[in-house]
Amino acid sequence: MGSLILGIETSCDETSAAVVRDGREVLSNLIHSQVDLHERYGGVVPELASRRHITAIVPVIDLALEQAGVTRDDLDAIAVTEGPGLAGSLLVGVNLAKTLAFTWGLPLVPVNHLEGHIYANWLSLPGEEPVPPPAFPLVCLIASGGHTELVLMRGHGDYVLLGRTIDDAAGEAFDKGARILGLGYPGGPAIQRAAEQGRAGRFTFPRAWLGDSYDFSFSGLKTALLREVEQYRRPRRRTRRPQENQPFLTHQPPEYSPNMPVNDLAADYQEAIVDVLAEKTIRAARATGAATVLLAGGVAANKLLRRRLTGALGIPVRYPPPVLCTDNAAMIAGAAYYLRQRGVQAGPELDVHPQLPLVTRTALAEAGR
Amino acid sequence: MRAEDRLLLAIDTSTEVAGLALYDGSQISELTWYAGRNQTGTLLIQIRHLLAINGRDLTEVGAVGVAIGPGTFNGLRVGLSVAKGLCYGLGLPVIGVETLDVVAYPHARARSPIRAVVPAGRGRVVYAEYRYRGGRWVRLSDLRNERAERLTAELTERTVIAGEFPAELAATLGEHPLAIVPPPALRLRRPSYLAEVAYRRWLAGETDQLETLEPVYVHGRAPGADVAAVAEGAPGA
Ligand SMILES: [Zn+2]
Repeated sequence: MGSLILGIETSCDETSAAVVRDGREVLSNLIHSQVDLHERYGGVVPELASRRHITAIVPVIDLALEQAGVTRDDLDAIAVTEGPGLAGSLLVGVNLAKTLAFTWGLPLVPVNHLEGHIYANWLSLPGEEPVPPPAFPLVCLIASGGHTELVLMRGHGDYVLLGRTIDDAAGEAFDKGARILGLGYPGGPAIQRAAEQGRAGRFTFPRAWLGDSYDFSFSGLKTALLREVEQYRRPRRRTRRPQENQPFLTHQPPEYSPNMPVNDLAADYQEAIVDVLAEKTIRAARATGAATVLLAGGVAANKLLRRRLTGALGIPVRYPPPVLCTDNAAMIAGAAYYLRQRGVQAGPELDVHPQLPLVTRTALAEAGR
Repeated sequence: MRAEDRLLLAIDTSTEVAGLALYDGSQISELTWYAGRNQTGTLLIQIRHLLAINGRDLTEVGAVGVAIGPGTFNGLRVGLSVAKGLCYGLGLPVIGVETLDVVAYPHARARSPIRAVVPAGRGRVVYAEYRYRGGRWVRLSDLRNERAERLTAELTERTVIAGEFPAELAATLGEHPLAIVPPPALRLRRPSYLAEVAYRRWLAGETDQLETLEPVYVHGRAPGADVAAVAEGAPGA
């Protein structure tokens, strides 16, 4: 039957459980999305996300096993995201996974969420042909609402962090831009849709190249967009305060004159983000002699980014299907398969690590940890 | 299965003091420790420890009682996640018990009404009033969120104030002529009380739905004040 791993992922606003065979084949991948819940706030509200995890987690796990057609007796291990992410969200998954591993007598594999995103590129969905494993060395751009990291991967578990965002994540920049333009949430797809209706080239938005480094910065871009829309802004009538039955402040969409060229603004805003992401990824791939470029995270679903990279290098550029780009548990179960081969395992003391960095385990071993 | 043959495991992570109890209808053993914010790192280890030192096995556990708050949101989620994991993993019933019911429980035989208290952080408390009425111990008020020094406000008769609060506050509250403030050990929320309440409900068939069971959320003074400001959505995904 191969090695079957149940993965659990609750690091942000998706409650997810999945069963994956041998790190490659997705048997089930249940994702309870909270987008509806966070939409009116224009972003993820950590406390609300944690609350939803508590009621969603058991049905999601149950369905993941059912859809995979397996029982607990078929499982070889349980994998869970230990970080990075929101503490209150992570702890629901970690405690559930630890307890299930204990009650079912299974090994527990702690997985770094970023590592999960990378390993989404090894997975194939039910009914699809298995994808060939990406060739090493590879450069992976992980870009999502929570992270923007450029990583060199020389082998399984062997990472060198080339660069990362020093302020907003790329997905966050999309979210903030969409919020400023009144395009809704999540921002990535919203901006992409608007940009497709518009024409780029009318506005000049800044690109933070940060010299030769592979680091990213997107906060200046957001400020530039704010400045651009200012002239179209209409005065707000009144501010809303939290109500007794609605303790969380909802996001008020800004009000603009109908003359504002929303689609053109979205097109140039998207160009500015994608330019930097693509350019630095290409440069890193050349400098490291990479055999493959991988995209991971929600922003990997961006069509412009995919277009810019594909064909630019003469090496394969790979990205997972959309459902495996955004947060999901299949990628956690997938990564866990390779972690387990290197003996990675956790005990009942496993805690959550909201700030967990992606560092090579080889480097950790060398440092005597 | 006869409930009498089986063990109930009680879990309480409502506050920084966490507790566990095993109860079989007659014999109780319990464990209380200062978990601080490290409930995740300690709870499952302590469950294994409690079972081991009592010579019991996880397979003997027939039901799980869990405190559902009020309390710290993350603390409650740890207890509930572990309770859900055990109940789902072993096919057991779950019984959610309100934390203030546990605080008030040992004072049921007192002649006075009780104000049962849990700390709510930043000098605030959540409390409710309990009284023996019609042969039953009942909660008479809604859950209130107040500044801790307001615990003696609007007392009209001698009232026991029980729960987890610092010595200085106990001394101040004790100066009020109508307040009875027991010493710390008598005020402590013990997991064996939770176990007894849950056990009774288990026998009566009053179990809760595993999937939907969630904490009691009581907010601070301005609703939402104790929750992260929302306008700037948190990074994620
Ligand atoms: Zn993610």
